[in-house]
Amino acid sequence: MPDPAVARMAGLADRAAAERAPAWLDLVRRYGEWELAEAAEAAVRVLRSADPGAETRVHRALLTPPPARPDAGGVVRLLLCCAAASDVRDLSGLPGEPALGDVAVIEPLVQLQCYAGDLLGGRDPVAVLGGVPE
Amino acid sequence: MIGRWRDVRAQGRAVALGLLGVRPRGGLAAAFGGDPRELFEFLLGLRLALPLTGRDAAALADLLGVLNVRLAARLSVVRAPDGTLTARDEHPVGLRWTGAARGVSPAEYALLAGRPPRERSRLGAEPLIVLPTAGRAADVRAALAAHCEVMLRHGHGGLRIVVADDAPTPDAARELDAVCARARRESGFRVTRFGEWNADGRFGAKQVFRRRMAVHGAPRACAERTFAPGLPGTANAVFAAFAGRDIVWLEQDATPWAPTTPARPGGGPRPFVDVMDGASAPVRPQPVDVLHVIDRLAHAAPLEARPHETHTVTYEDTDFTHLGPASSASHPLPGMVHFHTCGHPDFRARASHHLALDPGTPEPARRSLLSGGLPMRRLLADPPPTVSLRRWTSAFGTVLGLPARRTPGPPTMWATSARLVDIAVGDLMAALGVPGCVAGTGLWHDRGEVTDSGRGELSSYLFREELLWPLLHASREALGEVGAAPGDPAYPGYPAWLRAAGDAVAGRAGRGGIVPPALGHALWAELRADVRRARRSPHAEIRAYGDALAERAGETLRRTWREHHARMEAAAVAELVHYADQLRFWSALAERGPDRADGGAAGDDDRTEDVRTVPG
Repeated sequence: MPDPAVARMAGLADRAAAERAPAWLDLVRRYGEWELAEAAEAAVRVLRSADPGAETRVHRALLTPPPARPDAGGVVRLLLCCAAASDVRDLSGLPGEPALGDVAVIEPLVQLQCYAGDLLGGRDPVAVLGGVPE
Repeated sequence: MIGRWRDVRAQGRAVALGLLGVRPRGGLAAAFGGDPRELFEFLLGLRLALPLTGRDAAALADLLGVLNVRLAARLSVVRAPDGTLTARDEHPVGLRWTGAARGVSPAEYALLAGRPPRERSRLGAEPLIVLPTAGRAADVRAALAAHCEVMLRHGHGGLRIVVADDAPTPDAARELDAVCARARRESGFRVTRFGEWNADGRFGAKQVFRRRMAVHGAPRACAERTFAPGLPGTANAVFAAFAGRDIVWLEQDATPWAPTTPARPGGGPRPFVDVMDGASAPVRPQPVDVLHVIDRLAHAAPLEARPHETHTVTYEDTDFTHLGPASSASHPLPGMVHFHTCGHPDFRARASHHLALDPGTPEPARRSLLSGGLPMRRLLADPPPTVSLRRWTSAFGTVLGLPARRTPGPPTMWATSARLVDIAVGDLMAALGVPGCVAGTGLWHDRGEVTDSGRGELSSYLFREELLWPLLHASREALGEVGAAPGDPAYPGYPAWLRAAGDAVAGRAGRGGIVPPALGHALWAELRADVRRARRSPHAEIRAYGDALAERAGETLRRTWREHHARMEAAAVAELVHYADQLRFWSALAERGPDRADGGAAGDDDRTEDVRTVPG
């Protein structure tokens, strides 16, 4: 079931990016200087893969230089959505009880959720972009 | 020699065909109205080409697809310009064979019909079967019963089985002696013990051996750690004490049965079906002729295994289904033969950690995960790939074959508490240019709540795993610097190579920078979030798990990530220094050359033949 908080966050992020809102630009700038950017990008690569189970896991990917970096705005948007989600399973789209194979999706989502806490410095993801927290 | 190779090739294929349900009478043979023997000679690899009608070609098409995976053969149906159809075996080794075709032997027919032949020919020397164990009598009894039954069924009676045990007291040793005596009586295998204690209270053969080894050429702590009771120490004692013998290593939590299933959820070929506990799936256990598979892959790998340079390390970390492109170069024969793991595969602790914290995980599964178990079974739906790998990342465990002459000397298992120990054996071999093979079948593996591999409680299992990847990376980097592997004119011999490897690992430790800051920061951030998440759980056992995680992580988790990272880095450096010391110690043992250890592994007449120190 889609999480309304995530949909709202995604809409807010898209608008802020389109308008090049100062809060958004500030977030993207901080992302560029952020020490966890590499880890977040590794997680995003896993999630964007057609077969996440066959991807190199984040902790291992951090040992070797990454290939081309993904678009910073896209990663920031995903970080914000993960931070807004009350349950990562809503984001994962995986049905039913978790199976071992699902971990390949659950792990990078949980990782992004906790990295987002670091990037946002503990602030509410909606408030960061000037929205009103629910 | 070529005759023996062909026998094994044929026998290997006969086993595979039998498992695929192809029998000489009935089934596909019926499509060949004339003489089905001709078809089977082709399928067994005894003929390079077989003339076909259009109807035969249609009947063969699907089968060839499956067999090519299973056998790593190059079987295909070819249409000549004049329209004539021929089934061809384009395997490079097959084409090299120019002798006369021979008939299907009675042994091959027996295997095809699902019956064991009366005698088994072996390519290699008679292997020594080793059962490493913590030494609980009931577990050893069950493991011996399962393995002996299947080995006898396949015509491998009379071999020597060494129970390499860590039974901690003479009383426990007495119980094990009784188990071994019974197995000897009932199965006819020569079962002996290589343990810490004898039943009469004297030191057992393994303890005598490790004490003897420990006094030579190394700091005492390093020598003791290398041979200490526990899986790595026992492995090292076995490698050193039985150097020069081909070893088949049977861990007691693995059995020689492949749990096959006709279930294919989602359709299409797939090697594995994972069934969570509580869900049902039909299981048809197939006995696996472990010794034959190892013999075939260890000595005839080019006939059976498709070469790949490396396998992709995935979430699971130890599976062999995600492979890079097949290699066009042929590989040397392997130094290790693995099996795919069914039942409870070797998922890393992180998988259990995430599932345990997932609110959707049902309670019985959560309990199982928190105690180090796995709430699922993996079944074999289609044959997994049979491959030769130059570079692989696998736990040492379950069942494997170690053909001694393939390695320039006995390997050593990294003997510390980090869960790196076993993977390092394969790394050492890869650095020496020795590939490994993985068989196209899986064995049932039970991950009980109490295992010999040091899992147990999830929080400690997770913490032992944290350092795994950076350490593995650093040790590989160091071993990669050693250069001059066997076959290279500059190869300095095994002892000197090991010493250089020890120096390289020590040098790597000295340079530092083993745990990348991004990794240290990520692990710190994740752990803090996970502890918070666990402590918010409505389930008391998850809250307790969160507390256990926080306690194991220590003080630095509450401080900055840089402090936590510094602590991880210090632990990683210490681990590498231990490993460097151990490699140098192993070098000193190898340098001493063949030498008898009178303490004796066997306590019987095999002793003088088998027990020696590391030959140079």
